[in-house]
Amino acid sequence: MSDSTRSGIQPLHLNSGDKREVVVTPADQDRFVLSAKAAANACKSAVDRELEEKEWQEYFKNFLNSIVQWADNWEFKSELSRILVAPCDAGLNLTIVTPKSGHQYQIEDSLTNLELDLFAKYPKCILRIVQLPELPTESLDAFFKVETSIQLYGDSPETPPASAA
Amino acid sequence: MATVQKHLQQARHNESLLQKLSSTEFPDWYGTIAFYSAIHYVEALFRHFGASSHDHRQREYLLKESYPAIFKQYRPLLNWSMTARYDCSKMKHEGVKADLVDARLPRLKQLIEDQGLKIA
Repeated sequence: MSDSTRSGIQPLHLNSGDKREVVVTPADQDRFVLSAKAAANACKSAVDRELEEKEWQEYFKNFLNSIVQWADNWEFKSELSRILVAPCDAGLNLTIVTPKSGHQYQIEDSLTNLELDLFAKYPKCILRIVQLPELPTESLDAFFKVETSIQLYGDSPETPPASAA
Repeated sequence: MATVQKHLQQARHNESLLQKLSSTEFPDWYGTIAFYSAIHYVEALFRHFGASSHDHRQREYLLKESYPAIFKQYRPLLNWSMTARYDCSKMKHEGVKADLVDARLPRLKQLIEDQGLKIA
C-alpha cells in the first residue's frame, strides 16, 4: 500500500500486530488507551459501518424510487391520490391513498402484486401495503404516524376532508 | 400453542358466524370475521408443517416467503379488517360479501387444501 495520502501529509500507521498501546485523544479530550489490535479493529468497524450505511442509503433510495416508478406506470393511476411511507414497530407501512371514499376492491390484486415484488427485490424493507381513502390527518394517525411519514407520490390535499361523523 | 385441529375448529366457528350476520347491516364485522377465519386457516397450515407465527407481521412474512398464492387472497382480507376497525367512517357493504367472503376466503381455503391439509 502506498504511503502517499490525498493531503500529501505523512500518514500515521496503526499496525494491528504492534505490541505497543495506542493513546487516543478524541475531540472531547477524554483520552483513553487501548491495544493496537483493539484500535485497528475499531477503525475497521467504523469504516465498515460507514460503507454499510452508504449501501443501505442507496438500497433504501432505490426501494423508494421503485415505488414511485410503479405509481407512474400503475394501471389504476386514476385511483391514486398519494402514497405515504411510514416507519412502524415492525417495519414500514406503505399507504395507498385513494381519492374515492370506500374500499376499492379492484385494486387489491395489484397492490398485493406490488407487495410481493418489493418483498422479492428489497427483502430488507419489511413492508405492509394498505389502501385507505383520503382521510383527515387524525384518522390517518390511527394507521401510521403521519408526522414521521414521507409522502412519496401525489399532493397533500389542500383542504383535508372533514372528520367522519 | 394450538394444534392444527384447534385452528381449523376456530376457523370454522368464525365462518359459521358469517351465516348469522348480515353483510349489509354489519359489513365491517362481516369482513373482519372472514379475516379472522382466514387467520386460523393459515395458522392451521403453518402448524401442519411444524411452523407457527406469533403476530400479524410474522404471519405475513411467512406467507410472502413460502405461500405467495395464499398471501394474494389473505392480504385483501387483512386490509379490509384493518380499515374497518380503525377507520371510523362507515364501511360500505358493496363487495364485502362478493369479493371477500364468497371469492377470496374460499380461494384461500382451496389453496391451503392444495398444500395437503384437508380442511373441509
